[in-house]
Amino acid sequence: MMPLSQYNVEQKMGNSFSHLPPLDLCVLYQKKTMSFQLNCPNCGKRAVSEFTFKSELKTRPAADADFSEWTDYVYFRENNMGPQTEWWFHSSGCQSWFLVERDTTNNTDHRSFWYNDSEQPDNN
Amino acid sequence: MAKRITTHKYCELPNLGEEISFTFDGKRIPAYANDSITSALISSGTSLISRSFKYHRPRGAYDVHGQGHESLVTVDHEPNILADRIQVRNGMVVLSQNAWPSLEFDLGEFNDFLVPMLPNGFYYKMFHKPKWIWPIAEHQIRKVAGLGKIDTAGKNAHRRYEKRYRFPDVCVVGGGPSGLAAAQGALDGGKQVLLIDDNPELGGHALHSIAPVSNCENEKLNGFPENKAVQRLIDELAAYPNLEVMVNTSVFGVYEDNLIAAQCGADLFKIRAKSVVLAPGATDRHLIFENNDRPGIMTARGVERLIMRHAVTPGEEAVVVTTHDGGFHTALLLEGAGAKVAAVVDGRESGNAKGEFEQKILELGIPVYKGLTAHAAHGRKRIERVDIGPLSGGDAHHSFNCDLLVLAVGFKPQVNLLSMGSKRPEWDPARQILRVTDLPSGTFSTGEVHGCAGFARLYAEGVKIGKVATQPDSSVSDENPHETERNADEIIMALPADIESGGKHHFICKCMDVTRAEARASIDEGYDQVETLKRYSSMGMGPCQGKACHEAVARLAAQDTGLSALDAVPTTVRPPFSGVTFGVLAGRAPYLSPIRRTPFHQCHIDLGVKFLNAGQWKRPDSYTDPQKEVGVVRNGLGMIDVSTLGKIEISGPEAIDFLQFMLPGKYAKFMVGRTRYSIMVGEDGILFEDGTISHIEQGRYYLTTSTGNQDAINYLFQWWLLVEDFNVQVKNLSLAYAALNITGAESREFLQKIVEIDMSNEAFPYMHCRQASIAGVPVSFFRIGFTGELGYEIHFPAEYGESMWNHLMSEGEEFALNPFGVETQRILRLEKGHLIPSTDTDALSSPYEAGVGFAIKDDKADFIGKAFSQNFKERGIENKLVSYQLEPDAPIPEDGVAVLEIGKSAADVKIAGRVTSSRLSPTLKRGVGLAWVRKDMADLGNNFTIRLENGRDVTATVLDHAAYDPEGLRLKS
Repeated sequence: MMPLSQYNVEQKMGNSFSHLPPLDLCVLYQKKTMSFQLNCPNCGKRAVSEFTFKSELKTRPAADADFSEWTDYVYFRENNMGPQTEWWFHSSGCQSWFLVERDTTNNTDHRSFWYNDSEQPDNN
Repeated sequence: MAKRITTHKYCELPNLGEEISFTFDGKRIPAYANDSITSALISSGTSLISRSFKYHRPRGAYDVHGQGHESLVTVDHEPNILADRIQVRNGMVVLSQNAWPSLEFDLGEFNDFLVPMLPNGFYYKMFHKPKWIWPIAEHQIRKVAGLGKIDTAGKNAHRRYEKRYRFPDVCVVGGGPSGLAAAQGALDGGKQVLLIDDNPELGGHALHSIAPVSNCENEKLNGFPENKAVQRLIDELAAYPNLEVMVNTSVFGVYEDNLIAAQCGADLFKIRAKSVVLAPGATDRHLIFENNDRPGIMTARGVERLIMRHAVTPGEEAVVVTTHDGGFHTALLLEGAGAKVAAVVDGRESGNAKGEFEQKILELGIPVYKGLTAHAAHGRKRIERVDIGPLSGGDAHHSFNCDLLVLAVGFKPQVNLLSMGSKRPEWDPARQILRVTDLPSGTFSTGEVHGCAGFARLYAEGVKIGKVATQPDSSVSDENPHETERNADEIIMALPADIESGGKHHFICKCMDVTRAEARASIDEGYDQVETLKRYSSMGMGPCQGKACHEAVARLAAQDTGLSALDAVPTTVRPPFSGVTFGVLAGRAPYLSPIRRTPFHQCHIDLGVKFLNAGQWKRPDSYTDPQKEVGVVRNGLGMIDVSTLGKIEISGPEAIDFLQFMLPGKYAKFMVGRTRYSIMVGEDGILFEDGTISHIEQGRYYLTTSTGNQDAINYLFQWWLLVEDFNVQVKNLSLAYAALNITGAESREFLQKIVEIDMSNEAFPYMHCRQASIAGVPVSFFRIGFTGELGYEIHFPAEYGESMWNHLMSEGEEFALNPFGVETQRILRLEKGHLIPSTDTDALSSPYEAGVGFAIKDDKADFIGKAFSQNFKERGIENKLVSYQLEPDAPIPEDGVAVLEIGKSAADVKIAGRVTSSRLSPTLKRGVGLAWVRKDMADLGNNFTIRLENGRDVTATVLDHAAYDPEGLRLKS
């Protein structure tokens, strides 16, 4: 989670609620309709409705890993407010899987690349 | 009275087109082809067009541009159409809305006298005690709420809606002077431009202005009045080959990455532009005083439009309330059209330099009052008199008899499109308007929406922004500023938000009938933030969605809560900007969804099949009666089209490792020629798929999946191949191969006749596969038994589909081969107790509870879902999917009904499970099915209760796996 001050939002609420994002922040980043164009490494910029989102990029635990690690892997999401790396699939297009590094607060700026071109995450 | 004019002192009148007529509430109204419904109604002397939402107050034309709700009518059975925006057609049937028994005499107007009794949110507070009164009151309130009525039987119910696409370099929204100039700027930069306007013709408000153009960069336009100059500009643009113009098209949303949504008639346009220039302009500002909603009170631009475009004067005796020279321009147009201008009331103090039109008005001897504004209007269905007084409120000074009050108190930028549902406008004190400035890259804006004014300046800024927009990455910044220079006398000061002049009918939101007094009362009740105030009082939530009032609401809320104008932040404005027909958003469903047909489609049609929609697929449901078709399979020979199965071929050096990883079974000793039942689980251990896997050739495996997962599993395999790096080839043959299941006791005898290999039970046992050919076509045979009878699934290249079907049908004649459908197969499999994942299971079904835990071998190395499978096994089961049968003649439960546990008394009932599939078995002559029940109820022979939809209970008995042939002797014979 990024510090709230990064968004230049004045903290307007009382101290008792200081752990919550201020009201203005919620308004500022309320969900916009998804209409951006995603860059497919194969086909170029296409409407996001052509693609299927899978998940955040995560490292699969080892087979004998602790069960709590597996629970984290299967059921928990970072859900970053800010940059994150995600799996996308060009389902209504070339049908390839690729990775997108995207700022979740600003869909427009993102970088797409093949999995094999990415730095492999440590498998531990 | 309003009337049509034939001459005007200061300008030429437009060509009105041919004479036609239409009806309004049954009354014939003469009109001209170029009239809007509103202009035709006004010219015929109709000042009352609609009734307000809550108090049923009379409402007439206001801005003649369709920004407000006043002109909502039903046109040719289509409700909630803005009369301002619709061009009349001969014979059109227009009806008023929200009035009973008639528009002229509306009983609902009684509400107006109840104003003190129907405060904001009265439905939260009133009619709740005693308790029984609310249902009655609610019924009445719901009956009167809402506007037009949808005519589901009308011809529009079957209208065809289309989606269309455009990909211009630059899309300019708004065809006024600044939009036209921006288009020219971009065209001169060599770009492909799409120019959109929601009016029938380009030109914007400049079409209705006679102010002379001077000092314009485009010297060819100088010296002409604005209406002529803008026409010349349009003619210049017509010469550009790269320009596409769309009129009568309303842009209702601007979304991320420059996606623009626009409606034109029954078409939805999705426009993806490299850059967008928004030039939506501004409309006359709202003025709040006593009875400010009466018919006969109109905006200056509305009046100018009626005169200049429709040759209609909307009144005989007018009072103009203004704060800028534009109001004097309107007064001059009215005077030139033969109306008497009783007075021009100027909110500015005397001493300001006099504008060009103010001079002319003074020369004409029309009385001008300085430092005053409107206090109250009198009259009910049409204003009769107006009181004017000081801006600070208090007592009125003067009173004028008039039938038209023109409001020209400055402009309200149409910031809705700029705010894009997230950016809040801010009050710009230097320009006295709300502005949105920080637009995303590639989106630009120009013109009156930033307070720019005057033709020459609009043109200069428009051309500049149009040129900037040719570079989508550039921005409007210090190098490319909006035109900010203003002389002090050019700024239109905002009047006080409300004139404190007494009376209870100062309407802020005319759509929802919210008055100033109600807004104050809501603030007193604690709703003192503009967002909560809006929700509680419903201001700005009516048909116009705050277009008319959102600035007034913000300023009044700030004033009443003691904030400065700078903090008067209006509520968020979201798309759609204008009303959008639902049909336009829905499009041409279901025809836009692809239809998938199997290779045997025509064969099915020839046999008179009833189709079943399985996702996008058309599958045979049944050919005759499914109950009879079951008998064909059980007693003879049947054939079903199973081409919709997913078919994946896996080969390569590490194919076996890949399978070991993807599937929960063990495949180390999987011999060539063998077929196995296989399930698939996710990483969460949940059962989501079952099918068969066959080892058809050394190192070559063939996996079948269910219809619904055909694509998903292929995508999943591709993904795992990418991240896990196995040396295998995965080939998706789903559409390349057709498949049939030939089943029934005689299937072996039949197939033996047409294939060359030995089909005997010894040579080709149950759960084996073979390669052979039929009529020269290579075919893979899989001996499996979903139906519970001896059966063979055959897969072969799809292009042989029809000829194979016809060959089998003719060869099978002597065995009485009959096709059967999916519904028949469902009964057959239920008789055998076979589950279908996602029909009989859901996202919480562990394979152990679903009874297919035998297919999981969790003692092998890593595989998908291993950790959770082990966990499920350790935890044991709580519920179980069981096969059940009913007593003969018991009614058949509906799919999805509840399984109950009934205690000592009939009232002591607990839900203990549910039925997932249920059918009448023609073989066993009783109901059979699958149900989830609690573990302790799942023992063999146990009885449980199923409650039917009609409330009756039936008793079911738990079976061991299958009702029909539980030992599977017929399968293996």
